[in-house]
Amino acid sequence: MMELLLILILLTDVALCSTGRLRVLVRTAAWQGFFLGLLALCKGFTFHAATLAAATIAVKAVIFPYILNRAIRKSGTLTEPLPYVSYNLSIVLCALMLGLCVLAADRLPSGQWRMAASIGFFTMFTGFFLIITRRTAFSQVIGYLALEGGIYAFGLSLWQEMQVEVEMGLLLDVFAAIFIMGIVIYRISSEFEHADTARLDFLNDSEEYD
Amino acid sequence: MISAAVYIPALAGLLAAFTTPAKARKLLIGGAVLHAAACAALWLSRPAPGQWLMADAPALLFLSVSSLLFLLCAFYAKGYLQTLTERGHGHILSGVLTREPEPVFIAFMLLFLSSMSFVCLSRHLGTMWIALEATTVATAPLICFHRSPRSLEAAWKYLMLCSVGIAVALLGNFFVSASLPSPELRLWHDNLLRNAAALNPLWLKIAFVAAFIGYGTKMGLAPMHTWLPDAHSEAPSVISALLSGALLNCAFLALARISSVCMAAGLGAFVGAMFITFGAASVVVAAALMLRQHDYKRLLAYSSVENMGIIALAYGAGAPYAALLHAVNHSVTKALLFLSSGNILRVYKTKKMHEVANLGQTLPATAMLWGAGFLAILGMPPFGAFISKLLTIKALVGSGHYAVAGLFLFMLAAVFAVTAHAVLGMYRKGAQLPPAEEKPIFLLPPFLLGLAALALGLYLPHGFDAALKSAASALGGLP
Repeated sequence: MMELLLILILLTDVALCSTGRLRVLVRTAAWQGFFLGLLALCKGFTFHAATLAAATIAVKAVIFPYILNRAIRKSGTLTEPLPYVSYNLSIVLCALMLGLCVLAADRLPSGQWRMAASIGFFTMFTGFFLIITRRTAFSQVIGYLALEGGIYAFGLSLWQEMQVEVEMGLLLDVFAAIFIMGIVIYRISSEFEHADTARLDFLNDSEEYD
Repeated sequence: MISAAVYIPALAGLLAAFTTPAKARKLLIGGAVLHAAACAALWLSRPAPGQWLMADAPALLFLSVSSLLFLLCAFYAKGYLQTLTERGHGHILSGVLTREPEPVFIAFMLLFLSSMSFVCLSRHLGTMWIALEATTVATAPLICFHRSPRSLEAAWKYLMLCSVGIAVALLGNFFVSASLPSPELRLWHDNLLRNAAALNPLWLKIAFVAAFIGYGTKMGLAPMHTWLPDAHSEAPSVISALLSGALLNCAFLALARISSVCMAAGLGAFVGAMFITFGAASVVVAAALMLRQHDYKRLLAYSSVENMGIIALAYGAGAPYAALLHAVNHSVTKALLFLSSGNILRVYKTKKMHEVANLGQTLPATAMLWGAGFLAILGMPPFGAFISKLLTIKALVGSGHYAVAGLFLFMLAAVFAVTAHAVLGMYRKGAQLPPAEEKPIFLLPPFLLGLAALALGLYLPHGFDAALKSAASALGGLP
């Protein structure tokens, strides 16, 4: 069960790197959130685990896609304009990174959850990769989500049981962050009529601004 | 009892979001006063640690600084919001008319105070992380209060860079938990300090690096500082004062909490080297960028990067007392400067230094505060920053970092020359503006901050000194 979920998360990572269609990206991120939620149940079906799984799925697979889709509709941007790294090259880089992540996780002292750790690292990498190489604010938010999801998966691989208050606090925080990011993107879209962060370049240290 | 400092502003903030602007302003002042009272009550009663919160010496020190700054800034903000309503026009530079509704602005200010108090009082590494991320979320809407293109860009960079940075610190928390000999120990930091010798040093080292990158981003250490000049210069001046004066300190506290555990676990040399390297880099980068700065709010923002670098240098050289003293000095002085910069911006309607002239005639009172603030931040005696910078140099030399001490002195001199030249230019004779009215509500808060900056240099009361010392020994990792 757990292996299956981890492989599905891996596939969503690759899918995130391979497309620039924003709605597909949002849908893929929602699936990834769903699988991450189920992953919490793999350590045993307790009340604690079930609450966490339900909250994760509600936030990451239902609310976030709603917020992001709304902002996408508002901005009218449907695809990523010319990313800095082409999609084919992205997939090759992904494959290379996956190998490195497996090697890195192999060296970790902790025992049985090595696979979760390597997928966690890989998901974090995917997140960083999206944030750095994609231009629209939407892809960057999705990158941030993947980064957070990867850390969460890695945390599951280490932690016997986190205090439920801390887990819920983390989730609430990520929720608030995405909510505010959604609002800022919304404002950027109405002010600039695009959501291309590469064209947000008013602020710098040169004299001749304005 | 301890939680009052967290939930009073949170409650006031939630109420403020759903009222009229006039009532929201009352809630802002009321929340700030009650928070200061709660803070004073904590000093007097010194309650025992609860499950999630504790009021030990460092927590109380940083909480009080934040609380006092917020109280003064709340009055200034009230005046600021009143002027905006009276004049009814939009953003002072771009003319953008749309802005967030005033109750929402006040609500986020109060939530910011609440999350900041939560960072200071947290007893658990996990909740500390949650609170610090919450400060990012609460302050981003404050930065883009006016929906001008520049402030939206600044808010976006701030949200993205700080959220990603802090996510790395979360990874650091997981690594700390991996270093525990048994999972029952959990991440209470007093607990970690007591059991530091039993932690796995390799895991702890990785955890420290992750936490350093994460919280260092939020603290504005170079090279992770790139969001800071944008956010601090585009936010309304009263928010810049709080971001620079209070929030950067909170990030330092979070970092110092983890560092103290690492030091107690015998990683002192490694921790010190990290702080010295990044501290020196921050001082150098800030000095280099201040050299060609034409925007006085960006100049202040880079000066914050420099001062965070100084705090890191002092802490890394094994002088947490100097680091804390400098943190307090910097908070007071930088808030004074940002509040005065707001007064200048309101009248001159420009942020470029070469377009400001005749400051002494146009805004006599603000001009005094502005000049005094710069003398203080540059480390002139008799202001407090002189003492803390001197202690930092002493600590660097005492710990054998001669080259860093030399570089630090050189950079201080360079910053002094550059800043003095740029700021004096604002007092030169030039196009005459009619003398502007200066309202007391915009002068009293920076004036009180200036008095504090002066008092810190002239005389440290015994009680305050003792509080600094006990906070320093708690953050220094000594058992």
